[in-house]
Amino acid sequence: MNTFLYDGSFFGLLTALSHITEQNIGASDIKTQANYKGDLFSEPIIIETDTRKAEAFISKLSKISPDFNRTILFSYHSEIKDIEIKLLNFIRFALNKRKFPTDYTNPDINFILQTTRKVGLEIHRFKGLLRFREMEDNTLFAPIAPDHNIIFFLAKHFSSRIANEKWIIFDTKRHIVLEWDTEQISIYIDKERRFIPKNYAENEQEIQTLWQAYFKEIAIQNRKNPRLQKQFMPQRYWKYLTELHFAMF
Amino acid sequence: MNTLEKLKILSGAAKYDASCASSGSNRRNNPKGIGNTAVNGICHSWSEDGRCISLLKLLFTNFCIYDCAYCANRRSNDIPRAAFTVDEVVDLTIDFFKRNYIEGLFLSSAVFGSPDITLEKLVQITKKLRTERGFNGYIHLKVMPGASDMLFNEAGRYADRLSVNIELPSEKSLIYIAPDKKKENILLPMEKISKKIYETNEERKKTKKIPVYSPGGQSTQLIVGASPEDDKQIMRLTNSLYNKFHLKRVYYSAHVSVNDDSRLIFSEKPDMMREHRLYQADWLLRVYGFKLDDLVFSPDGTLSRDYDPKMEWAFLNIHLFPMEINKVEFEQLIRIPGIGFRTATKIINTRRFKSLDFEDLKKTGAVLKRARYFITCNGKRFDQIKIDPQSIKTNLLMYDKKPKSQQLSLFAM
Ligand code: SF4
Repeated sequence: MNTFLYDGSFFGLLTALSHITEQNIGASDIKTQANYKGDLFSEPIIIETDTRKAEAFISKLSKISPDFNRTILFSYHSEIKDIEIKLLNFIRFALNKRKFPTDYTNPDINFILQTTRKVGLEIHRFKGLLRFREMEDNTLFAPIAPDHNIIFFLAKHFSSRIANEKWIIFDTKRHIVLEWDTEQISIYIDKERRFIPKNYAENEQEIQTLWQAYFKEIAIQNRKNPRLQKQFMPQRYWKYLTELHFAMF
Repeated sequence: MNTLEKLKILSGAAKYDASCASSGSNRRNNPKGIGNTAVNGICHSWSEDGRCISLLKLLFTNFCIYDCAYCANRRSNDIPRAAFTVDEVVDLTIDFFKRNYIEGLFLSSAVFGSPDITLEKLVQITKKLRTERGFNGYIHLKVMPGASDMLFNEAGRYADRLSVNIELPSEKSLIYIAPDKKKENILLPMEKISKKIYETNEERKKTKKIPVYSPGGQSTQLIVGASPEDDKQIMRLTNSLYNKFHLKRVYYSAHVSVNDDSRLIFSEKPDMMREHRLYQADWLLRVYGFKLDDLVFSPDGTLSRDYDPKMEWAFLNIHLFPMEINKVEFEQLIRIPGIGFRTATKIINTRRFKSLDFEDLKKTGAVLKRARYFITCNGKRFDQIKIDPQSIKTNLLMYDKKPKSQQLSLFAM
């Protein structure tokens, strides 16, 4: 049984999966090089990312079922520890049966399908839970801290929805910036947070006050149910919600 | 009065409207505009009562010429009153939308002057949002019964969804409690809207040049527990609203007394359990393919409080059970208590690879606590309980220690 290391990229992972399934080698672990702590007893096998091979692999799977695209993409972006080896087992099963696996009684398959759902759900949630603030230069700015690395999947939604305004979405955990200048999307990493606009627009505080008042007013007092509220809107997502506190950044 | 004070009064007055759906429409944006709609709707927040916040729900004003017994805004009440200006509502909508607080606007109003004057204001707001501000987000308009056809047509042209609230589930109660409203006045506009939606859809099949008309359909709301109608009467009304007028949703709101009025049944606390059961029954009609006759009512016309409507249906149709998990079709699977839509889908998917035993079934998310009495897996029963309603009830009671504190969830059926 071997440990495989890839460079952490999506195509790197696909290259590794392609390599392992084609050669039909036993794998005990697939890890990113950055996460590898070393092992006294065995040498890991290092996978060189090969874009062509990766693309060929995903199109081979797509021919079995178009659902693979989303499943692999979402699993990769879940950033869950050890997702890679589960994904390998999932794909092995698929290649074997030449079908998209939906056997929920197999733990790895169940896990991958649940993970895909979870990531999909988080994307959907953030389409709602993301809050922009208007900055001095009229750019809209929204910090987010999602469980999974979903920022890419928000690009299309917000660029078609809020098309006529410049906006920036910033993943504060991963330091990823998603920027829309009313014509184009760009994505980059910015550890120094250079891009963050300094001051709020003149009426920003006032609008947040109105929003907070609305939020409070709309709850029916004799139906209070904070447990239900938290079930729909888990507290880990509350940090940047402007209805709950003036969300400075 | 500043916008903040008005907002407090006029959102406070609108909050009892249960509808917050932002679904059913897919309006697109253009590069210069703001907003689009999501077919499945999006929740942006959840208020302290656990309800989804999707739309900015406002009354344009709470000045009213009418005197409906159940309403806090009726003219005989001495309460703070306010009215927005057209621009205030337009600005609030845009400012909230671009910060991603909301999916759009749900605008309603008390009746000031006349139904025509009121609806005209609402239409003005919608038109301004659409044509001057390039707003393509969701707009739900609650229209005033009794306003002119021309205004109805304009309303549907700019809004995604229209609704007329029936409020009270029978004509008798309506005349008694809301003397200024008449059933024809409510059902007639609903019929008109439903016709217009149908005609527009037909014409748009031929040419897309015809403008859309209320593409998200129409909905309504009933107040439950203010008047003597029983659950059976309510579900009968609901059923015909879905079948005759093709409503997208009927909402139910458990009555809370806001006025001291002897014409109304007094209720200090809303009857949440009753409301919940009505929503479950509604869900069975609307989504699960149940017929009105499949709903089980007690002789005095109420839905059971102890068991959900699907369980009650199963008790009454016990001869159809047990069903074999590995054989029956999707439509039958979802009729089994403890198995919902998502679980049934998983079962069907898993069946393509293997046949399921009880362990497997658990992994699909089936609630065995309830499903076990009604199924076999590869011919085997889960335990030897007799399949008759009485033994099942006894068993359910034994295992179900805290049914009352359970989360009320539609999906746990
Ligand atoms: S018309 Fe509407 S706002 Fe006026 S009293 Fe009746 S329910 Fe209340």
